[in-house]
Amino acid sequence: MATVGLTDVRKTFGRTEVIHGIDLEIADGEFIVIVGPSGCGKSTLLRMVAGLETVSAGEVRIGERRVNEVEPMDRDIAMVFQNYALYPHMSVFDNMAYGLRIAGRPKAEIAERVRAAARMLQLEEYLDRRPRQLSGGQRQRVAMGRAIVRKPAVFLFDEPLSNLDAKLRVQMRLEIKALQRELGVTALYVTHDQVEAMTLADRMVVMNEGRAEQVGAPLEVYARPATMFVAGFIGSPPMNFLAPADLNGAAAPALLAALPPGTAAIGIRPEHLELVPADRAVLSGSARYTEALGAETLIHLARPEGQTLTMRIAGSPEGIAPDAPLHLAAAPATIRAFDREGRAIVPT
Amino acid sequence: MEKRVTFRGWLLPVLLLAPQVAVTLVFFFWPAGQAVWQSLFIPDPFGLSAQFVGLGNFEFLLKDPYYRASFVTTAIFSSLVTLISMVPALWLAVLADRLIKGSGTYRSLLIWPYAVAPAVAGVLWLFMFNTRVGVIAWYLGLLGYDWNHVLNGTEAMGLVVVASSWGRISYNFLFFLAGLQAIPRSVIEAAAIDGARFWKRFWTIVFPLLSPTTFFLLVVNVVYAFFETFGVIHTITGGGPQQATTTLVYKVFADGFVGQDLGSSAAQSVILLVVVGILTVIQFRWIERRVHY
Ligand SMILES: Nc1ncnc2c1ncn2[C@@H]1O[C@H](COP(=O)(O)OP(=O)(O)OP(=O)(O)O)[C@@H](O)[C@H]1O
Ligand SMILES: [Mg+2]
Repeated sequence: MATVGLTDVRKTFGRTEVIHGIDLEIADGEFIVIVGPSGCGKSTLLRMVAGLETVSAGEVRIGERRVNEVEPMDRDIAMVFQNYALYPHMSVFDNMAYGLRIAGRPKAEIAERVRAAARMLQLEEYLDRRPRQLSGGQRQRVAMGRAIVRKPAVFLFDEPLSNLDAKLRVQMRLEIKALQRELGVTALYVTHDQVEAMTLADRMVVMNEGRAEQVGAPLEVYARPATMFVAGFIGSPPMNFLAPADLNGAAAPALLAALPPGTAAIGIRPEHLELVPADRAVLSGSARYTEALGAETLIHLARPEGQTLTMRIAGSPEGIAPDAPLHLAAAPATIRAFDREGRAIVPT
Repeated sequence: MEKRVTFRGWLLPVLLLAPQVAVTLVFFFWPAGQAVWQSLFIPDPFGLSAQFVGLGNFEFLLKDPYYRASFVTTAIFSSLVTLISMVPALWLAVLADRLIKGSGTYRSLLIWPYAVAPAVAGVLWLFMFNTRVGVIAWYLGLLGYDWNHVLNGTEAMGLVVVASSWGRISYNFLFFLAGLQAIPRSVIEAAAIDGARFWKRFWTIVFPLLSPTTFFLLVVNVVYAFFETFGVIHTITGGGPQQATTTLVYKVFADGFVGQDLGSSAAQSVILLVVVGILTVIQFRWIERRVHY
């Protein structure tokens, strides 16, 4: 159990800088998810915390101790890899016991701790098997088990669920969260799946091209994205972006007047669009196709100006005719304004 | 899923197998059969007639102290060659595997010795250790050591072992390096995070995962030490002094072609065949079981 601190951490490979200075303070027992598109530097950042990559500049601290020059084994961390990285020539028991044996723990204690972890992960029947005799989900559990038996101060996860099928992913997601709560260990979790990020994180770090665009609680990030990138990346379907000039409904002038000065783009979440009579509309469009998902319905609209919009409404409403003109509005408080650089303008 | 290809008729599979079978028949079974046949006879000095002696050649051989000594020589020679050609190769491969920059150059340099023909390698080593003009022999002389592999059996053995192993290090290095690079990085990283330092990782993770490569090289190198070192021994020591470097294979040549004792030579070939057969069985049965694939 420990805090983790990053101060202006940078990474260069040869001459190219891939991490451009990240600052982050992680509280003891906090679950931090690093999320971002492929190639944005998530794994690199995590591997610097693990000690598997050198830190080019800045400082990494684990529990108040600067660890830039500390070997991975001396950082009191455990890591779960995307491909699990199990030792293929060892049984499940030996895989989990490996770290404890190296630490020179007594035999009885090792057996005790491995069995406890195996019980927690429902792996008891498989302790004698080799990794190749296990299913993907079971291998994932062994990797988890190997991490928890050592009782590290920090857990590091690099996309641990991305090799599992959708159903198993949801199940394991819940288990990881429960396990982390129970053990109270600080966790750093890398994923490119925003649903995983939203559900697991106490706070999430949204990364883009080597920068942390926003750090915050999931709902906070969702409701008040700091940049257009974050607004587009978090939330599915993504936020609708429009230029102020695109608002041309009957009620548009009043809304435009309320936008902060310097607004270059506005963003509206699909669920914040609602159908209204023409005289209260700020936008209009025609339904191109609808996706009824049971609990909710997604309506994809085409606007005369050419953009498409996505709207999400509860239930499965009847009577939305294809290509019929629809009039839309959104509550002013739900509309996000962005400046020319794509940064959110915070209403004062 | 079955990866096997199945054929409808019998003609195509037979045609596909034929070259391999033909080569094996002509170059292995036929000479082997000849050897077994000849080992039962003693030909007269002019090769005009042969006298049937049954197992007499074998009986004579097994009582011959020189032949028995040759067994010991072969065992020592083969073990040393295998060891000296594999251990440094593994060590170099581990170093090269850790090296990221310049590994290409390093690798090419290490591969060069393999391109040197065994007999040429033998001559090179012979020059260096020549008792009168050899560079190394001269330096050893300066240090007060009187090198003379022409008279000293142990020194002769040392020299043929080194000369035979030297070029093989390159070959083994290539395989070890490929084997090392096939081990997933993340497995090694996981072990590092689990607390294992370099040597611990090497013995508990890397070496076991490398065992298929090691086993393959063990088989190949033992076969090499038995059969392909003839050129080196022939150029450096000619089997001497006092047969100190006469391996079983060298003795087949020396007795058969130099001594013209074809019956004994044939009997030795048969014994050699049996020895190699037993070795192969031992290797596959016993060691392979400990190999993790
Ligand atoms: N060893 C390396 N040498 C050079 N460049 C590297 C190296 N490792 C990573 N990079 C580069 O650094 C950037 C970030 O890579 P990283 O693996 O951290 O991405 P990621 O966010 O984890 O992506 P993904 O979601 O695909 O795993 C990429 O542009 C990648 O090409
Ligand atoms: Mg990655």
